[in-house]
Amino acid sequence: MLESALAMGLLLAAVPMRADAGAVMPQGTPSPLWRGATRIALSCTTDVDSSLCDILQQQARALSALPVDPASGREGATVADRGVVVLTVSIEDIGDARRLAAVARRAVEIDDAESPARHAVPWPVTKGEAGREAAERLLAGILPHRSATSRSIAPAMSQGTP
Amino acid sequence: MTELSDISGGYVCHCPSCASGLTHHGFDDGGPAAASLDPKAGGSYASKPIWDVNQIDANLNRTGYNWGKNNYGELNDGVLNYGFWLNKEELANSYYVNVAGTSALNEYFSFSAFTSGQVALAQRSIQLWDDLIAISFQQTKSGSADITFGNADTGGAQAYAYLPFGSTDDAEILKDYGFEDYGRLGGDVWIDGGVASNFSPLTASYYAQTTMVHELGHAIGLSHPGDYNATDDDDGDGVPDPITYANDAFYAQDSRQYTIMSYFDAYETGAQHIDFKLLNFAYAATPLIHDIAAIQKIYGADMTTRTGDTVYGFNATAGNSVYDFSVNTRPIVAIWDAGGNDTLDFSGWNTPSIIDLNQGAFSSGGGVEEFLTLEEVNANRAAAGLAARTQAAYDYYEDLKSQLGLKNGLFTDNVSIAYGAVIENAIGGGGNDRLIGNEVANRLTGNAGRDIFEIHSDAKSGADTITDWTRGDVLATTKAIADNNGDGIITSRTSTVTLDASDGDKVTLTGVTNIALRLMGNVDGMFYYEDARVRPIATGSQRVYESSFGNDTMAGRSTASATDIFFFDTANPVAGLGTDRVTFTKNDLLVTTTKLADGNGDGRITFGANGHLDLPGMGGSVTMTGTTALEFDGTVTNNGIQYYVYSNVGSTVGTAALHF
Repeated sequence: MLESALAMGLLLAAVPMRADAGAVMPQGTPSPLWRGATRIALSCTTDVDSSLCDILQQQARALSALPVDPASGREGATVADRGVVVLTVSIEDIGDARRLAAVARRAVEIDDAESPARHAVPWPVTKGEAGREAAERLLAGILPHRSATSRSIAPAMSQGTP
Repeated sequence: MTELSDISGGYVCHCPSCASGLTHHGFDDGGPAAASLDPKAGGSYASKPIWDVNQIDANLNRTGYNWGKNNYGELNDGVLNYGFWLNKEELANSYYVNVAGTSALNEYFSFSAFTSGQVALAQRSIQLWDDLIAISFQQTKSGSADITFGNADTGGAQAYAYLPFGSTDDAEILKDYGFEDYGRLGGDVWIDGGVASNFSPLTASYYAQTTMVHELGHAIGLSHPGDYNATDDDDGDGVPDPITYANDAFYAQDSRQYTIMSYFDAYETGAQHIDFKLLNFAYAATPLIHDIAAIQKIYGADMTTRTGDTVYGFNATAGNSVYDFSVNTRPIVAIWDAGGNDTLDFSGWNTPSIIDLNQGAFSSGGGVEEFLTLEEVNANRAAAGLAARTQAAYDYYEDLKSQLGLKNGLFTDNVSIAYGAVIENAIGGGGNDRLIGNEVANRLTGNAGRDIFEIHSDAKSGADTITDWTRGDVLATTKAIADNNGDGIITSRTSTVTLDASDGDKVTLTGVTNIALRLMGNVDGMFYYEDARVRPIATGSQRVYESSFGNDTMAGRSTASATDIFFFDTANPVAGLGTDRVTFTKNDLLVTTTKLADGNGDGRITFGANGHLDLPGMGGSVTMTGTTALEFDGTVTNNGIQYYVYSNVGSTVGTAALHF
């Protein structure tokens, strides 16, 4: 049934929520990477074209309550950058597949527990709206956000949009 | 406390104790900082109540969830099963997917299997909990496991786990959402597969291990000490809420000094767990004392764990590398031991240590006495396979040291003994150590250095043995030793000193006959006795005056031809020698056990205004009258103690006048 649902290209992820759902919320360990972060510096590698990078900036600002600015490349030069998380987006080729990948790292890393986080999503051959959606999925997967159990809808796996 | 925020995030504690440069917060009642807050239950610290262990136990299991309740009878045989999701197909055939096969829980979509390293870490972490409690753990396939492991996107947390909430709502959830056996989600552990620190280093004292042990704590029923969670977003801004000790800890001992379930660094309660050799934080490798108490309350204590004569620390025989400090070199551990004649061995450290054998107590060992340069740190990091620290990171730690008032990089309060565990013996290292006995017969070995042997004789302390008493060591008791003639000297013709005749407490100094101990004074309710042989003796017409911890006035004799010797044991390991006054005449000598400051190296010691002389070592001062300067005559070494001899400038009396 699950495979046929996948073949239909539409899959819903629903987390049953009880009236006292807090009691079954998973209990977490904090991620030191984001602890005390004050802003995000976003950069794109050269294989990411400027229009996509602009879309990522806009989407990151919409998704994150931390200020998002373009990275200057000098983040981490002084301890004043302690609160900065540098988010670097690239396109990577793995075999025949392409992925849009993001790595988040602390500009001034003071503990090995702050080591980078990475997230990647399939990067559609045809871009346009599909590219925008992929970018949004990428950022949703790398930026800290509300409890995972509150995400009620999985991204629609559409067949491609011209 | 006016303000407290997250130091690791770049903030600072502004409470009065920290502003004065102490690393330990003082108690709100003004009492001195102690290694453990637990004995002060009922009081307050950092404006938070200090709870007793019963309150803490109840709090860590406040949900009431455990595997013995409403959990499919899984614990009826006393065994919990654990397993690893190997692939997405296994998840697809489990409670993670609804009966209709049309929807799945979040973890399904971002699943990846544990690496072999993660599997080994999980197995080691399971063993740590298994050793504590009277149930067993067994590995099975994921389909029949109670506790499962996998990697998934945890939405901004390092990892998360489900408490064993049980089957109570299974029928309702099946009806409303189509997920069968939803309660089997309880006990499942999910590690964020995108965070590098979850994959390396996977060794003790690093975050991956502390995360795994923490999540397993949830999986078997423990909650965070406070009502906080890594992905809480109460203000709805899309970013996990800042969680701070000041705002979110509702009792004082909510820190990683006491419980691996806490979100708050150990320095919040005064412990020092920063590794200044590598410039990173050391994290707990085991459940800590409050975790052990709480989990044993739920499942019962495992009374078969390490019942032989076990050594923890160096020369370890505990059978687990977390307790071998030659392997786990920056240990943050708590020890559970169910029997035998056991030893806590710090002999591999040449830095000052504190070993406290009492249940629930903290010991301190390891770290560095001198801070390192950035180059030295990075050489250490390269040797450990870690990336170099930047100048900016180094500067951050310089600021942090200043904020915390750290004078050295020694670990404090990093090794603890669980409530209910009895460790009988302690072995110190190369530094000036403090070894603290408990209520049973203890064998205490100080090794090198001037060690303090502390015995709580106001309660039952038993018949203790100090195996290597040397001159320079100090005996500390919580009840004054009977001194029949009141001269401050305690003698015994045997090797044994009776500490409290009413209950038979005594201490034997192995190999020492004709014991003579001199009372140095009382500091914070503790009576300190040093070996009375640590002093020059008077010969002929000489007199010897000794400074103690209090404010002494040593007038000496007015006869210019007489030689009075004023002795200051400035190298004593306990305390400063107070504010003393000395009247010095022509042929007198001043003798110390550390060298007086001589800024220009000319061998002449001049005094400040009003004849004031600061003493080196543990401190204190002397107001000298009758002379304006002293000259350094040289040193005399006697039985391992070095004495520095000073006389009037031009005096004919010097080191030759010193006798022992």
